[in-house]
Order: sequence, then structure tokens, then C-alpha cells
Amino acid sequence: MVRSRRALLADGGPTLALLALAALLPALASSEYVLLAASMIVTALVAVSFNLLFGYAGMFSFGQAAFYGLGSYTTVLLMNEAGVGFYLALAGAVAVAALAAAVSGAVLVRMEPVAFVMLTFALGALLEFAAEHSPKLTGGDSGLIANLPSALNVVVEVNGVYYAMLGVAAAVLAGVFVFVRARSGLVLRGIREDALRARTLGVAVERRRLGVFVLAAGVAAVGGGLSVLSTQIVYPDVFDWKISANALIATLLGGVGTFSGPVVGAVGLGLIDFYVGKLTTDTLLVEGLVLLAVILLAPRGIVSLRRKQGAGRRNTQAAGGG
Amino acid sequence: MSLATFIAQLFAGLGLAFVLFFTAAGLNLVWGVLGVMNFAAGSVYMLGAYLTTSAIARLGASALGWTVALFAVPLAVAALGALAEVTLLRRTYREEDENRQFMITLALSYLIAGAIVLVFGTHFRTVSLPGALEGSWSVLGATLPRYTVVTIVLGLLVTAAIWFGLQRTRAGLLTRAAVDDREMLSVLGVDVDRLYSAVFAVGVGLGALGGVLIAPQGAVSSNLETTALVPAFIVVVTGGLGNMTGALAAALAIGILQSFATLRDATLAQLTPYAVMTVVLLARAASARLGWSVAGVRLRRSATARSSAG
Repeated sequence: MVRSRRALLADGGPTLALLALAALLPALASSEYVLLAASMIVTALVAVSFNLLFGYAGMFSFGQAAFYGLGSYTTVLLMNEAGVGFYLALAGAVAVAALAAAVSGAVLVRMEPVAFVMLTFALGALLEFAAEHSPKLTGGDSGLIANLPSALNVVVEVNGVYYAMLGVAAAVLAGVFVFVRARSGLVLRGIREDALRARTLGVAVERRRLGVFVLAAGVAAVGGGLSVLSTQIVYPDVFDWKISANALIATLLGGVGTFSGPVVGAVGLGLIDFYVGKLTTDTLLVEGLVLLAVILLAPRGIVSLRRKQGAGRRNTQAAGGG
Repeated sequence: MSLATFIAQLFAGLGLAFVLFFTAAGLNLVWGVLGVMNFAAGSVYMLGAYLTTSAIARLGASALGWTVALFAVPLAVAALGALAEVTLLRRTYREEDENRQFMITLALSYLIAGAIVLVFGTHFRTVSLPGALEGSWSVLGATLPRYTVVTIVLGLLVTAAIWFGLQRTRAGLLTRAAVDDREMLSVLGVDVDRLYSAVFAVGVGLGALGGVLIAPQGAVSSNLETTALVPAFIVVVTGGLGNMTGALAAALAIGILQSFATLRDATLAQLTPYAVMTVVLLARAASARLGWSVAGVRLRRSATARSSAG
């Protein structure tokens, strides 16, 4: 693993730059863009969550929306029913999502990759169904309105809410960065490359996979909880598979298996959706085309475009640049 | 439960089972031969339903109109599938990256869904049956909707055709051979590219056929994509990836059980696929050491093909 300052900078640099830009945004742009950035923060977290599993551990999860949604609903329910403050509710949401991931993951992570994709997808659908049909708990299709204190009310105080989201997201991203740059990240990549070899080297493959599954669920739950601040109401479509798919598209766009890839991709996708949304309502077609374009033309994403494709560089990328 | 209720629910369950099986069979074919988990299966099902509403709108809800729709819609969608396979999927086979192929099918599903919204708008559509198929027959006191019976007959015919096609025709032989060893097949002079396109087209056409059959049974809306895909995925996983017989068995079990469960609680009944899958997966894990396996039509990729080995 390359611990050199250069590698660290290459890996985390783009994210740091974007965070800095985000911090300055309210001074530079109108609140329309601040709200856009807020949604990018949320998308970035879900994308990071997806990339932890797919890019680092080689586990293609199509159900991060399940934990994102759990994060949203739990945050709101804890605030509304238990009268807990937002940050504590968010922590509770992470705990709930982690627990759900631990339970479901115990079965899921042992499945073959294709079944894992399909069943994580089914998990999100299951939770969406449950949310739609539990009106006493979730308000069903009418949604669940969050009782937010006025300090966190986006209508009242956009910038305050925005900085709260940015702060939490930055902290989570920092944590993920430490995780993937440490030995744990290296072990995961070893499992991704060749699980059998990792196992013969003494790696507890299932335990590691379960661990990263739980971690990714927690990150997605933070995204879900933060989204409550900007949307202020939670609907069952918070479990919709399109959220999982967006995380995938963003990660692919930015660069799979790199730390900053999902973040850059989330920003890129957010910009595309924003400007396309002004021109047309056919967002489905556009997103499909974007995905297709990325897969066929730039499968390694934006982040990789700056790297040269020489053999030496490629080794570095495979060995430690991720 | 009276005999009449039993028969009625059984038939309803069989009708549901065959619609499930078609999409699952399409998934299995594409998975077994091409190695692609076709996420677009849900959207082609939805496309089949929407095209049926268009076809019937033009041709009229008569027996003739429906017969035409029954053949034309799946064929049209199959042709689109072949086009998509040739232009998009074919270039990715070299790379042996099944994830990329899956993502292409995901992109396809976006494009199909987007096209549907563009052409049909977001309001749901309905379609009516020909007069001959409305109403019901009375069998042993049970009220069997005529349409359900027709669905079941069609289902049996198509299932038999699939089995016959795979087991008794040369095309089926080549398809099964392609599952085992694509390279060897091409060395033997078979145009594997065309075979893949054909299999993908058939898989997609089957999904569309399911959509055609479901169209008269309720509102045709953009929800169909997910409501088709999740049970289909569950059927495929429960029956075993690539296992056609398993998929049929799973579809029958899920369809019939769900039909009976609806008598108790219509909402919870929709969770039947999950329940059946959980039971089967647990049983499979528990009995793995016993080494039992079910003989049948299996499109199984060999164990060494792109497994995670982990």
C-alpha cells in the first residue's frame, strides 16, 4: 500500500477540494445551488456506501437504498416519537441500519454474487412494501413529516441546515477515508481480487464482508438521516431501487474503487440532473444514456481520466492507489 | 375451505404462477447462456403490457385483436432485444465482466422506462378483453374466470414449448452447449454471436409475453417494472440460477401459495415470495451436505466460470 503523501493526496484530494468548495458555496451562489449541493451531499454518501462494497470489497449491492431509507425513517421516528434531538436520532438511525445489515448480511454475504445483487435489490423492495403498508408507523404513502427544531428547518435557515449536513458528511467521509487507507481497506481489496487466496492467507473472508456490509449500511443511513433535513418529509420511495441505482451511476461516473470517485460522481450526476431537469422532464432517458455512456466510454470514471495508462501507473493503481 | 374455493384459488394461483414463470424463464435463459443477469426483464414486461394496450386500442378488443397482440407484441419486443444485444451487449463479452453487462441491462431498463413515459405518459392505462373471454365458467361449483383458464392453458403450452425447444431441437441443443462451453461451440463452427442474440431475444420476448398476459388484469402503470422484477428474481434464486425446472417449481409454489394466502390477508400475501424463498434457501443450506439435486432442465454455468471462489 502506498502511504506516500502523493498517493493520499491523489486519493482524497478531489474530495477535499469539493468539500472546501461546498463550504464556500453559500457565499458564492444562490440558495438554489445550496439546496442542490445539499442533495449532492446525500447522494455522495450513498455512493460512497455503494463503492465501499462494490469498489473495495467486490460486492455488488443493489440495495443500499434499504439502509438509506432505514436511516431516514428511523431519524424521523426517533425525533417525532422519542423527542430526541437530530444528532442523537441520526446516531440511533445508524445503529438501526447497522443492526439490520448485520442480520440480513449474515445470510446475504455468503451468497454468490448474482444472488447477492438480486436479493439486496429485493431487500429494498421489501422495506418499501413494509413502509407503504404500515401507515400507523410510517404514514404509508402520505409520508412522515419530521418535527425539526427551527434551527434545522431548511425553509427558515437554509445555510444552517446546509452546514450541519456538510459537517456530518465531512466527518463520515473522513472516517471512511481512514478505513480504506488502513490495512482493513487493503484486506478488502485482497478479498475482491481473489477471495480464495485471501482465505488461504488466513483472512476471515465472511467476517470481513459482513463488517464492510454493516459499515456501508451505516454510511447510507447517515445519508438518509441527513436527507431528512432538506426534504423534511419521508415517503416510502426512500427505499426505491432508483436510489441504489443512482449511487451506482454516480460511482461509475466518478471512478469505481477510488475514494473520491463516488463523491466526484455524485457532484457530476447532480449537475447533469439539475441542468437536464431545466430542459426536459425525461430524466429517465437521460440517466440511462449517461450510464450507458459511462459504461461504454469511460468505465473507470472521471477520476481515472487524469491518470496515465502506463504499466507502472497501472500497478500502483491496482496495488495501492484505490 | 370448500372445494369450490379451493379450486378457484388453485386456478388463480396457477395463472399467477405462469406469468411469474415467463419472466423467470427469460432471466434464466439469458443468465444461463449469456451470463448476464438481465435487469431489463422488468421493463420489457412493462413494455409488453403497454404495447398490448396500444395494440388493442388499434385493433379492437376482439378475439382477432388479442390473437394478433399475443404474437405481435412479444415478437416486437424480442426484435428490440436482439437489436440491443447486438449493439450494446455484444461488445462487452470479450471483457468477461458480468457486472458491466448487468449495468448495461440496467441502462436499458432506464431507456425503456423513459421511452414508455415519453410515448405513453405517466397515467395508467387499461385494456379490455374480448367478449368471449369475459365472465367465468363454473366448475364443480367454483367460479373460474375465463381469462385465468386461458392464461393457464397458454402457460402450459409455452412451458411445454420451452422444454421441447431446449431438449428436443437442435437450437436447444446448441443453447445448452453454449452454457457449457462457448468457445468450443464456436470452434465447431456455430455462429455463437447469432445464438446469443437469439437467446437474448427469446428471453426478452418471454418477459414481454408475461406483460401481455397481465395487461387485462389491472392497471398498466410504471409500477409494473418493479412488481414484475422482484418476484422474478425471487423465483430465479429460489429455483436455482439457470435451473428451468427449479424456476417452474418455485413459480408454481409461490403462485399457488400466494393465491391461498390472499384469502387470509391480501396485503401480507404479497410477502409470500419472500417467505417461500427464505424457507427454500434455509432448507438448501441445511441439506447441502446431503448432496441431493433435482434432475431437470438445467442451464448451469460451470462452477469454474467467473465464480468469486470466496
